[in-house]
Amino acid sequence: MAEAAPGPDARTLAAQMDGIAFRAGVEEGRWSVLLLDFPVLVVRVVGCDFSHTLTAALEFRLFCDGFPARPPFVERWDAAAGRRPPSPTGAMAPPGLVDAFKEWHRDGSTAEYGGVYRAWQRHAAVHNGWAAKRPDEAWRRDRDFSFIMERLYDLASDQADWLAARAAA
Amino acid sequence: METLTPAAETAQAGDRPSEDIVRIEVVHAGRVDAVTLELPGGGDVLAAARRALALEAELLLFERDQDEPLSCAPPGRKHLRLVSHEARAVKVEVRYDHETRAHEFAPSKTVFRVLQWAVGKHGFRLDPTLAARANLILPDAENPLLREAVIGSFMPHGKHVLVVDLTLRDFTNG
Repeated sequence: MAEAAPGPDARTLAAQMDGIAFRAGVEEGRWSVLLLDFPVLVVRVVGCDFSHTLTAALEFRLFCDGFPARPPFVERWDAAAGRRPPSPTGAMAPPGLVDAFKEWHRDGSTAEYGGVYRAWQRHAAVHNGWAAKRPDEAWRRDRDFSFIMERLYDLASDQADWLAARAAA
Repeated sequence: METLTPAAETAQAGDRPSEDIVRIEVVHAGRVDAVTLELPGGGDVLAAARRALALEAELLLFERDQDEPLSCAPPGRKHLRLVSHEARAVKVEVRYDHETRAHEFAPSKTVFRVLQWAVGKHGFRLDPTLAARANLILPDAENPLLREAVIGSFMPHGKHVLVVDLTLRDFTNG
């Protein structure tokens, strides 16, 4: 049986992942694709501290169904173990990452994990109307997929900055 | 986004397999939107980009988020994000809590890098809890600057100082 043709969401994602911003990020070593099996995308993002002396890598799993009308669902991921790692504590990450990676449930659910807690993420965007409060951080369908990758890069760089500060203390 | 396809370069690029094409985004001083180019690889890509963009000789081309202007295209690259600006470095003044700290950055640096500096040990040394809430905002603007934007986007030619406020206004979702 022939495979079904990719839908518009898969085609849009593929086109934006072939765009200059995404491909340049790969060539610059900011991020890499570990798995693409639409709608699942697993990426590794490598951020750096301000002085470019220390890097920190984080992995994420994204569900991109409905893209770009719907923002991706994004969760932190351990690709080797094939599972979401435990939420970091204040001894492991800066407060911003502890907040972003905290355990929380999406609206209307008492059990379903809500994903990375940031205004650009599918379920966080609608939590308390967050996307409307932060138009600069919110996903819009006219944004490029690299917008999401840059937000993940910011998180990894925040971790690198925090590690550098601890090392210097 | 505007796509620029120089006729002479296109004739050459059209005859080549896609792996020999170098695709470039260029953000000009004072502009947020990028111009895109497709150029044949192999030759002096940077010179070809300068010709395609009709850049004046004194204008510098930086790779996004890098400190020094390019003298040639980084080897092996097929996709580049560039920033054109007349200045090698621009001054960013960050205001916070009745103090102003200034630092020189390449115009290709992102707002995110300026924020990293501003909250860090060379800037205002914010406690990590406060740093997590920090954003940079243009004076009198309603929303913070996009973190992936390059600071040259806010500095048209002739302007070499950018004043921003570091705000801890609660943009979080409490």
